[in-house]
Amino acid sequence: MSRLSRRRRRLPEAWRRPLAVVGGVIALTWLIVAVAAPLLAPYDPLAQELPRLAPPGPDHWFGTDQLGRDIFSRVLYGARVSIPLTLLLVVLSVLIGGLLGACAGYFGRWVDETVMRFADLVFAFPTVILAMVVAAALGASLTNAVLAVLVVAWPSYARVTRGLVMGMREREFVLSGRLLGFSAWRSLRLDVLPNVTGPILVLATLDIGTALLLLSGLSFLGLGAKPPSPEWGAMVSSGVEVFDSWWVATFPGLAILTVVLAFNFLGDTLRDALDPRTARAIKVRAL
Amino acid sequence: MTLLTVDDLVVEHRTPGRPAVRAVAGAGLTVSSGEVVGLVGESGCGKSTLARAVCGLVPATSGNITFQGGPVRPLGLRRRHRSLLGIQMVFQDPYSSLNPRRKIGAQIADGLAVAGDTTTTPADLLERVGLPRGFEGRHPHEFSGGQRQRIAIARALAARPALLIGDEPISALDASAQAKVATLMRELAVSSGAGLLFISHDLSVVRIIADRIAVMYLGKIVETGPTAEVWANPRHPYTKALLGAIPAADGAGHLPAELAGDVPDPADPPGGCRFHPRCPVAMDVCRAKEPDFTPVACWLHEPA
Repeated sequence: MSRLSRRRRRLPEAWRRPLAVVGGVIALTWLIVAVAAPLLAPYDPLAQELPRLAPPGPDHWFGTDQLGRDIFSRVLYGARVSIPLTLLLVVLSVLIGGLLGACAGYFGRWVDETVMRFADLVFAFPTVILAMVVAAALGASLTNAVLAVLVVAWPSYARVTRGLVMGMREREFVLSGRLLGFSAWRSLRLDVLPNVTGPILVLATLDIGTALLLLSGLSFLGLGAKPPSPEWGAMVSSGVEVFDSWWVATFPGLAILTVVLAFNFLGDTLRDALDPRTARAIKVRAL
Repeated sequence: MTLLTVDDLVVEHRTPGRPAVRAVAGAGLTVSSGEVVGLVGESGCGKSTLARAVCGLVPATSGNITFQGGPVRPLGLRRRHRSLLGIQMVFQDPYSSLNPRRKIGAQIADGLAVAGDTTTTPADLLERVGLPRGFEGRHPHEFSGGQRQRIAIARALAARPALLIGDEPISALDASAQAKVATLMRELAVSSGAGLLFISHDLSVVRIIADRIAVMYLGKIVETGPTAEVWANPRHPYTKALLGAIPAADGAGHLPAELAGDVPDPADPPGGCRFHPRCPVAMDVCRAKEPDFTPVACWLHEPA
């Protein structure tokens, strides 16, 4: 009994499953790589001074590309481009979508109608196509690609937040606050929003993978990062031109795959940990 | 001094595609300063809706609610009007009446801010509701239902209300906490000079704390009077039935008399007196005409 309770205090059940551990380790590794890329990379990611299209070997673990750049160094530096932008993207989507959805759910009426019709408008298009259209219209650059993904990403947060806020605003403690003279804004900030953050956090974590995929996809299509930049999607794209040298496209592709998988694992774990019903189901299975 | 006057109040809940439900159908009530009024009735009779209308949480369909001489306007998206901050409410469910994410001290301080009270601290209020002073840094999940209800009372009282409303504040508590919380509410309200409108379906508790009882049936007040008088000499057949349904702990082993039938659908109330289908002494006039007089809305007690 005492052993069990001591174990429980360390980490919740959901976080001790293999997938959670794997996801956590991979995500953490990539974060460290992003921070420490200049220390870890053996070569300058932009210098075109090595033999061209050298296959993977002891000197160049991931080989070199058609311009004579070390792919291993470029993949490491790529983490500095993709990961911060993806995180920024998700944070901005949560803030914008969450705020709009919260206002829609709390104030209702025309605010609700306006915000949710815009959200429906975005939902009506296939995500990738709409992001491409927006990115193409704004002009090809990494900033514009981020903006384009932002345009397609906020509505899901707006929808979820709206529903949660609508359920919360009739709760008795929210009404008590209003009876004590809280303005609608104060009520939203103090009573409503802090109590709906859990599910939104899960959605955001699950969305990191999707956002990275979309952002790399835009770069792959030439609508994002410009060529010399070591962005993973752009690197895969340039690898397609030299299909015989499989390593040029494979390694940046693997980088995208591992990050997306890691954050999906983490998102699943977070969802299971926050939802007591699934958490209990996991526990029962583990016993 | 009359603090609150509810006059011929009608509250309808409207759902598109369904007939409007008259939760409150012409109810009248007064509460004076320093007075404790117990509002009793079965579940679904409109007690809570009446309380919510008095707070402005649901709009009145017709009729008047007057608080300290001014009308009670429904609460919209704007801040509650200053003149109405004197009405505060303690809700039914102790598990949803406090914000789980905020310390209880901060929540009580919200009430103090309403009164502009800078000398009293949340700890003082905790002490007044019988909790230790050091608890203000804790979160609601650390408390039991009864303790939470005390905290909710502390928060409402911190605002120095002239009228405190308890919407079945004890019905979710266990029996040992019920009487304590109810008497605490009475003491604190009366000692601060406030009026208390105490809603409950538990007559035995209302008897202990209320100065005056109002009995509600299907959206209407059917009988009002001083507690002792109503208790000793109930006049409306419904009040008699309610009192008869209280189990007597006399060891005689008699089960309380049960009132036959259920509360009718408020969307489709019976014609004439609302109580006549269940009334043991219904007469012809009861089926034809609604008794619209006080203090006892019953044809047997028609004022001369």
